[in-house]
Amino acid sequence: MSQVDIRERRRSEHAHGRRARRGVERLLIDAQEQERRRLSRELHDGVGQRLALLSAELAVLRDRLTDSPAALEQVHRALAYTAEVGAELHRVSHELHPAWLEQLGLAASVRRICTEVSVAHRLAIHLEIGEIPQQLGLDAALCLYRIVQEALHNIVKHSQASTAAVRLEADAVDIMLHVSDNGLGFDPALEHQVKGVGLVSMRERARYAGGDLTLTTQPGQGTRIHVRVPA
Amino acid sequence: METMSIDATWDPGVGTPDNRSSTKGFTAPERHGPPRVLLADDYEGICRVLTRLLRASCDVVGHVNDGTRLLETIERLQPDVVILDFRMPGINGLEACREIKTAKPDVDVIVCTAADDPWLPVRALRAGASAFVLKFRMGVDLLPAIQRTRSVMVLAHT
Repeated sequence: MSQVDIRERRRSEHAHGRRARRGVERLLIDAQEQERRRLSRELHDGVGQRLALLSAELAVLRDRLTDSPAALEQVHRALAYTAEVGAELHRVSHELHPAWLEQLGLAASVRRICTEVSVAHRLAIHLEIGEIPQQLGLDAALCLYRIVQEALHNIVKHSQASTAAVRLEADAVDIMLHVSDNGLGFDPALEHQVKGVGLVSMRERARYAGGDLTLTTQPGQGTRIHVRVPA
Repeated sequence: METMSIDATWDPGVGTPDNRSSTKGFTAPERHGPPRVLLADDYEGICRVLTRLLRASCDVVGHVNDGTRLLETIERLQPDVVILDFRMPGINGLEACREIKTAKPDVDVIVCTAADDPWLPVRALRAGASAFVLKFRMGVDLLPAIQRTRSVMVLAHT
């Protein structure tokens, strides 16, 4: 076998290895989405039903407490807490499986998650959403939604940022997503060590949808993520 | 380009007992007596506790846990209001609501759901439902929903 043949063979093996890894990445992402969907359904059907029971039982108790204003006050509070837990359950369930994405589309879902993160973590978020094609496929929409979710999670957890910006726009070919913050930033050489899991997952998502992700960051200069996926 | 700044200065705080609901003060329309209520939910526990919750102000005429027997049960028990779980075996909640309103336009349907579906309230109301209640808020919202529904009925009949 000549040296040229050996080089060709190695190139072919590397290409085959890359394809196999992409295949595994796709399988992992699909499996993760299926598992999240299952958990979301269990939260609704299991915990949700028991919360309904609790809410109704508390209301029965409320109607029996005719001569104890203090106890009545407590039951009213417990009812309000139950409703709050229910709303939180919806939020977590939505994080696991964004049913809204299928119902209302990417723009509304991104608006919702930005609002939720802003309220929950007191983070000012500047949001810009351009014209997004109505026929955007669910795979691409889910990819972009998960990247926004992961990026906001990273900002809240690691960046110490006071403000963030999310921009979603489209041209004739692609959908572009930009997420930035004014937080700590980090040395990009440490990407895989410091915050590897989230960023690797975001890159895989972008690749899964046929696009790519670029990260720009330096210590003390915030972080900018730019994603481009085919519309 | 739509732009929006979200600055979370709002403090959701803890639960305050606003919008309190109670059976006290709720009197059913005199000319009809207490509203006859049919519970349609495949979860027995919910039917049992709702029966206890509603019996002070409503006449709970029965419950059905199989969607395929819903119309037949309505025909037999003649309720004024059906509390309909959106997700029941054997039926599509919206379709069931439409069928009830077609067969019995005077029957009020209150759709209950645990699902987080942004369009469901609108679809339920379009299908003829009188009200829409999230299941985890049943203790707070269900009686006022029946009360409102029945008030509208009284106005419609006077």
